[in-house]
Amino acid sequence: MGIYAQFGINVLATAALWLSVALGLALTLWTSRFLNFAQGALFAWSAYSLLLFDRITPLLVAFPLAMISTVLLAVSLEKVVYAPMRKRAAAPLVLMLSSLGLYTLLTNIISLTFGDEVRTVRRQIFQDSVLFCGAVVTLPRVVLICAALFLVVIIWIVLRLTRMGKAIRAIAIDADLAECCGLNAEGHRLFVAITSSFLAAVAGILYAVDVDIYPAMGMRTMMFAFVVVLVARNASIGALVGASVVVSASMHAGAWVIGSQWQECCAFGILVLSLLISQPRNAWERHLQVK
Amino acid sequence: MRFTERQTNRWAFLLLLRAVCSLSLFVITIPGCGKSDVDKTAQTTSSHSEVSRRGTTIAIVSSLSGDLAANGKDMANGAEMALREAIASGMIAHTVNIEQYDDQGDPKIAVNVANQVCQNTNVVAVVGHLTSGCTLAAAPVYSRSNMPVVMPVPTNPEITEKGFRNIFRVPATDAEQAPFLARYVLSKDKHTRVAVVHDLTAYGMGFATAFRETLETSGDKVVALFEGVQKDVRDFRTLITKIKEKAPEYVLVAATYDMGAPFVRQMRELGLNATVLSGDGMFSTQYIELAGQAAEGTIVSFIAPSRGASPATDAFFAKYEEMYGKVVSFAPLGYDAGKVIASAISAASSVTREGILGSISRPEFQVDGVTGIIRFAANGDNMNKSLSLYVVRGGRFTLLRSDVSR
Repeated sequence: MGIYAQFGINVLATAALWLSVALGLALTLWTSRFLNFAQGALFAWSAYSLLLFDRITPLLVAFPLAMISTVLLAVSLEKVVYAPMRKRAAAPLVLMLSSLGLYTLLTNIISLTFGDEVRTVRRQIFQDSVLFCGAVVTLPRVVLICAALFLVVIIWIVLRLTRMGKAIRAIAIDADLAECCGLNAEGHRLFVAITSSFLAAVAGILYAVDVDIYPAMGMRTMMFAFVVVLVARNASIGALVGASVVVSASMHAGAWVIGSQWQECCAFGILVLSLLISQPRNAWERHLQVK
Repeated sequence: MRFTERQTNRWAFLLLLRAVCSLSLFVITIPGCGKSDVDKTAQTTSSHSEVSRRGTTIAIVSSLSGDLAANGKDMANGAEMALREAIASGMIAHTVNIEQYDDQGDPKIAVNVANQVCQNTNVVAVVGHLTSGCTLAAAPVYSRSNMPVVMPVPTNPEITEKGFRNIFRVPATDAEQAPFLARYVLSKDKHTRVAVVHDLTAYGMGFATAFRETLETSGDKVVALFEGVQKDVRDFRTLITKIKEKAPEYVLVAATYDMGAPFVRQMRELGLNATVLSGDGMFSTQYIELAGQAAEGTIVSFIAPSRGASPATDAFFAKYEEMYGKVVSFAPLGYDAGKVIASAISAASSVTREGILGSISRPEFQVDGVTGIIRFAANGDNMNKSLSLYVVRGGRFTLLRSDVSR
């Protein structure tokens, strides 16, 4: 029983991490039509901000400061890079390549500033664990799972039940038409950038206290978040939740049954299967739909 | 056409922003900008005279950035210290340059660096690389150019089994180190259960395989699990759960400290209290720093003597710490590799690649290093096998057992 519970907790914790980043990716994809790779750099940025603020302030203050710095960086990127590019009618591919460039730039800045060595923010509280059905769960993982669930519910409520959410959905369906109807598309995209960066910051900070901090930490998480978005067909928040659990479960099951060295292969296997099963050509065409 | 004040301000702001961005990009992308140590070294060494810039060069190739930068810099500093001492004492000419190159711990980059080094006709010898994977990848390049290479750290036995005549190794190999550790385990209990985890690299796999083979000679089914995992995964909890099910008394983590530290932390979190064993890859103060309390009790085999082993080691540690700060791990080995090159240049008939190679290859060639007397066998391995076992106690490596065979 304990082993299965432990397996389940491992799956949920990984799924929660990927979901937090994937949700931000999907929101940007819906409203701005491009995959924002800089989200991976924001993930690392939040972890390094925590490392920095932890040195000069109490840890409880360092957490919100790290989140604020990440959100401010995302707002700067949106205002200085993405918004002007959209104004010049840049194609989604150009925006995506720019985000990849920004990822490299930000990761290099982190690397130059903090060095390449693996760092850690270690406190006893992060290593304290609770027993749940025989499974051992540490505090950062409990918080990660709860935070991801909470944020998913909040975002779902905002998208479904508020005027802001309706506006974002309208922009996702047809930005030009939404602007013709008087909606401030750029303002809503800024809101999405703030939300996405906040999600990346939460995930990055909790990953930092749970595992380690290193400059390239964002790329692997980004890659799997991207897989989750693709498997979910970018269709809805529910699909993203489902996809994150399925991809995570396949990875952990691969490690359990076949061997740890094949775990990533299993996760990508799910991606290939999902693309083969459900008409990949339509997937991108349907990406405008937000259910 | 008139512009409003707002427009002018906006343009000025954008212009300023572009200038700042361009400058940042330039600073980040100019070659070698991230390698401050490299530049500093090259600059300092080259400052003797204009002639020295075009003179003979010794390359130190290590992982100066990337996950293993702490170990890489330590090794490079050790080598540089030995060469500087040789220059200061007049053992080698003051016109000899020392240049550091960064392979980032990546075998693909290691090949590029090896090509770059070999194409520079001024480079007459190489101290490097840090990892077995990088050395295995770069070795054929050095071999084609007849470049003398002294390896301070790589322990994979395959490197010297390939028949290269130009590659020499200071430390004992995994074929000696892993059995040494395995024999210690068997000496404690012949019927014990051991789980073996490696990081899928040339070093990790080689070490884990040699360790398993020694354990299997005991006849009992000692190895309960043998599995590789990519170190980038960082969340090893499913593998640890799997190991926990086998209830081993020892877990060998054949990996470097950047994987070992989170692995051991997660082991303790999940309540797996087996004794952790490891090779030289985890002999680093970084390991203790990153793993914290979870590192306590870890038994690590190492390929060099520690401080206090002899007056020579004490003198080395004191001098190194005065120049570069605390020894992280491989500085003594880097120092000895540097000393080998310096001695070879000093004894060479001509300061060329061929001359140095001829000098090291002579049967009577030997160097009295920090790790002991270094003499090379025909395959390039050091005949002095200096091995020690350390245990982490009170946040530091404490000597458990040592074995030197000459």
